[in-house]
Amino acid sequence: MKEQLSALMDGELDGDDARIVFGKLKQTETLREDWEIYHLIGDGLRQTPLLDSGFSARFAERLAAEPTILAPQLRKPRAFSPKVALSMAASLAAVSVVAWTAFQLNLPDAPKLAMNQEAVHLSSASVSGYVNAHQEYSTSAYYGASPYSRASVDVRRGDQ
Amino acid sequence: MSDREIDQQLVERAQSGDKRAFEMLVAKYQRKLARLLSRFIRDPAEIEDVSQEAFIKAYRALPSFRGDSAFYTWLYRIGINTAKNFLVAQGRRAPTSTDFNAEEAETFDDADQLRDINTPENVLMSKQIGETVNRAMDTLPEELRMALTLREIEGMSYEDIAGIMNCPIGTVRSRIFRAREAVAERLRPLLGTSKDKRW
Repeated sequence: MKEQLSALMDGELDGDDARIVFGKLKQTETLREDWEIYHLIGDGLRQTPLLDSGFSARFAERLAAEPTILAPQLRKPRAFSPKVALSMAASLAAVSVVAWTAFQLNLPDAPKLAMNQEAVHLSSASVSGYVNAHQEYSTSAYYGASPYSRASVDVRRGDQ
Repeated sequence: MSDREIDQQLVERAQSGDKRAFEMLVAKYQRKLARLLSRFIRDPAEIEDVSQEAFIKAYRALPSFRGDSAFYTWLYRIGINTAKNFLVAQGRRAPTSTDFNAEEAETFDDADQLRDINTPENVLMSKQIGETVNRAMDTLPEELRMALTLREIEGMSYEDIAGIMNCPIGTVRSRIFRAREAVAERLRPLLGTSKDKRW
């Protein structure tokens, strides 16, 4: 366990092993003393100035007088399973396609595409009559020739 | 698990009511914090008082610590603010924001700027500890001494040390542990194990 503690201090112990050492540290005072001494050795080698020998003991007394903290735990991001990650990726891809399509329709050429589609649909005489009656409300009138008019003419020619 | 993740684990345990986890953070950072504070405060007793106060403030503020920054950055910021308040209360000049940046606290070069934070007692104990550590290091087999030196002085990862020493990472881990334990064996009689002897 001490060797694992040494590796933990150096940031060289992974997940489960680290959790085991943390659990032992909570239970074992001698292991906590080793934690202190190992850190002292490191600071000594780096020639970090030392504090008064009773610093930790005095702080422990002050800490004991403090109310115990019981703060809500931070929510850690959950590790995604491959299944969840795949479905999220598929959803993201679908949203991207929809967004891209919507973006393309909003480009300057988009009204022309819409107009062409309208013209194709106006093959019925009843619909073209409706469109003729309401073409004054058509926004495409702002662009000059009304596609509805051309469409209705085509339809009539077809009817003849 | 990185150094930052280790601190975060200890913070979360302290946030869950485990005061000993916070004491472990204090054991880890007390000398580094004192070294930082020694840039603003000359008197060793005052440095210790401000250090104690900073740690207590950090403990009280733990519920608000979300891990957005490293624990030591957060702690050092509290330490600097505590030092500023202390100096203002004493009618002395407090450091300005340009004097120091908590983000740089971990790496600052203290060679010319450090003030002496040692009392005569500390000088003696520091000397004893320093000599004991050095003597213990001198008696270590070369491969143990080199492994611990590369780790503690140079801050190298086990992987890098393994590359330099041309041995497996597991061997590096074992050598560093054995070196620490050999030095610790020499230190324990000096430090004792009772609480009033804790460092």
